[in-house]
Amino acid sequence: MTERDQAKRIAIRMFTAKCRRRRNLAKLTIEQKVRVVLQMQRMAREISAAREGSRKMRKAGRVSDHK
Amino acid sequence: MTFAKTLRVIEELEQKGIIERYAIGGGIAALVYVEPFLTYDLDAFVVLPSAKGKLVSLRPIYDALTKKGFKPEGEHIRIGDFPVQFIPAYNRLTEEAIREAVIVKSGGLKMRVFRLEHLVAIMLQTSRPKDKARLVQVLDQAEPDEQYLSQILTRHRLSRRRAQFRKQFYDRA
Repeated sequence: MTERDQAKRIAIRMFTAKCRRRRNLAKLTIEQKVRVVLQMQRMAREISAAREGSRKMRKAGRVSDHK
Repeated sequence: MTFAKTLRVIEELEQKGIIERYAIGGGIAALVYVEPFLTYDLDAFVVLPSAKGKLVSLRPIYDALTKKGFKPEGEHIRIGDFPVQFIPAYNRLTEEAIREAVIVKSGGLKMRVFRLEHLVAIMLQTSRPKDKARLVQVLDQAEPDEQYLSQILTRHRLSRRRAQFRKQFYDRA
């Protein structure tokens, strides 16, 4: 396959994914989207709490910095 | 409290004349047009009844809401799940965005929201890194009315800003 054909394939795949995403998007109500956002917020808070927790543990010398 | 109820509380402020007109902008407004993304607050852009020629005060809004039991949190006031920030229209573009906002109905929910083209224009005007990142996402997933958008950008002298944005994100070296 030539480089041009490969680029064409990738472009088609990206376009198909975009169309699929738009179709799925159209199915969601705003209330459903807001619910997804609230779930994202919860996850973000959990991640930052976990980060903060491990930072404190490291500071207290209870966990090694070595990876 | 559901999102619909949060919106109803804001709408009531308008019905009671505490605000002249509201429209949802920012991340939550963008949600109407694109896939869900992480955003923390609800931006309610407002025109206040006594704003013309006087000092803008959000006091009546805060008074009415705290009376109902909602609590201020810094520059926000929490109504249900969302901290709501009331932003008085601060320039001609935001005034126009509120004036031309559209009613969106979805499921059992109804809200007045900025048109996509105004959201794009405001993101170009503010141009913080997060606005630019969101703008890339918005333009990837939604199609603004090009003619309407161009008119807005010309009217508010943002055409050059758009050209710079395009150069930064879409021009290939």
